[in-house]
Amino acid sequence: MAVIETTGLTKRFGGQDTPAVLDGIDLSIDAGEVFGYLGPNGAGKTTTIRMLLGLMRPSEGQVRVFGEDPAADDALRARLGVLLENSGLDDRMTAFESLHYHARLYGLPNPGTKIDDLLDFVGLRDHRNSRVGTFSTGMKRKLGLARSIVHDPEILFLDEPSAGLDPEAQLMVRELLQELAVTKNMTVFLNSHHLDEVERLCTRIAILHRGRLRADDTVANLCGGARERRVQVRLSTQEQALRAVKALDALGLSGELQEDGATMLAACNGRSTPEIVELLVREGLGIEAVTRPIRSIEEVYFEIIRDEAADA
Amino acid sequence: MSAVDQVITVTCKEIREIVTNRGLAFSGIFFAGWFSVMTGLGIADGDIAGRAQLDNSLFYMGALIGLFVGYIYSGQTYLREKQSGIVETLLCAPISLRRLWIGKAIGVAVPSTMLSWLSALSIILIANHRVGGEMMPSAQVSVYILAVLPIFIVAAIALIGFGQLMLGMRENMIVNMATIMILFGALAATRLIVEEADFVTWGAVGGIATASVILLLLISFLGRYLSRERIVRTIS
Repeated sequence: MAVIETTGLTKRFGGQDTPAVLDGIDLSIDAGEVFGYLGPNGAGKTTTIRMLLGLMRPSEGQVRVFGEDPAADDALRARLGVLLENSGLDDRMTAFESLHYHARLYGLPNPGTKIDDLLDFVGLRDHRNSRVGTFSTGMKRKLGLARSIVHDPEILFLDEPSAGLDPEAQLMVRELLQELAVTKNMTVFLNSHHLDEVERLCTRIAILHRGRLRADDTVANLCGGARERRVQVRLSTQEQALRAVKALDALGLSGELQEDGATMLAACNGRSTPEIVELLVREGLGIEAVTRPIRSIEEVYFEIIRDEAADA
Repeated sequence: MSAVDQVITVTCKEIREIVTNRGLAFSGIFFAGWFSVMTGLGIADGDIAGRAQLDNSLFYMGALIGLFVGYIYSGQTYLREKQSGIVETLLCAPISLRRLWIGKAIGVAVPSTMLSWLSALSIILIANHRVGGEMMPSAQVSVYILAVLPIFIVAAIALIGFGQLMLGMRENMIVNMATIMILFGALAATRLIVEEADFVTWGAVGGIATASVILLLLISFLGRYLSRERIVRTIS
């Protein structure tokens, strides 16, 4: 069941003549998904999250969170947890006071024990009564994370949770998020441009570029499946591989020899993998293996961004 | 959680922040103390003219001290949270914008009113000590200080908070400078008025009470123009 849905979500900071910051975004995120929302700076990620949280209204299109308009329903926010790029913590409060204040705003009557458990969970129990202003950026991030889940939200929105953190602190935050996703079974909407973080945490990824959604699929499909337009064929000899490249060239397709000399990377150009294999078999070539090359999210991301830049 | 509970939660947080922030608390106390002493020492005699002077001092200074201290505190409550981005996280909480705004206004108004009352008490004590008499404020000024002034201060602070939430940072800077100049101008003018004025009348107290009610109505009207989007877009 979709807990977050947007249809034709568009945002302009001005009249109809101004360019859209977000342009016709359709998203549907199911309960329990860990959804990664990728894009370069200025792509519109934060604007999307603000509209999902009801902080901004769409210029066109619709946002529904649990079937409701988040901008019109204050009570709905009790079901949402938020960690924005700015941790939103008051430097003058202690860690405990900060969590207590938010717990009370979210309607928790006696949150003391819960807060201590959460401080344990994020490893800040020893800093319970220290002022947030004395915390490092990593500690603030962890406290912000604790604050965002103090009321056991059903959906957790995270906007660049690792921004400005050193690698060690990034790892700590990532481990905390992994634990949350597994133990609390929350739906997570993760805004990030840390590709590695998204690849490790998310089950599904959307890539946003210049206000438009360029990809939206599972990690498995993006990295090796549906979007893949190349196939890797290992032939019995180097000579056969060379023949295969020539055969594909003659058919208007392109093949590229790999380092071992016996493997060829073929661009499908709209043909399916069985069609490519059939073509090669018809040429009398001995095929030993056919695989789809697995790519990292980083490769997929840059391919999409570059393609879009070239199209533009 | 009821609406009242939410407002109380915000109010208590703001009061605690002001009271525990030494620099902030001290600046309010210093300002209130300085003007109380200066005003108290300015009352020359314990005769009828002196009593009228005391009445007027309490009438004008009470409001101005409350407003000025409230202005200093509201800068920390509304503007600092906006500048630092804290407000965006608060806007994601299940509390209406109106409750958040009013909770903060009351949280600022409580210590401001306390300091205003403390100033009034100081003015009375210093003036009496100076003239060696037992001067007390008139009934109308007592009613004004205890009942009208708190409403006037909370309404004015809510209005200041509205501006700070809705305006951009640059506009806020300009408004800040203008407000401080107006408040200082009003303080200077007050000294001149107090020296010449007669006793404060019930009419004057009623006038301020009416102005407070109008301010409250204005706030109620302005509440509909509060917008999360406007606040978020004017953060930076």
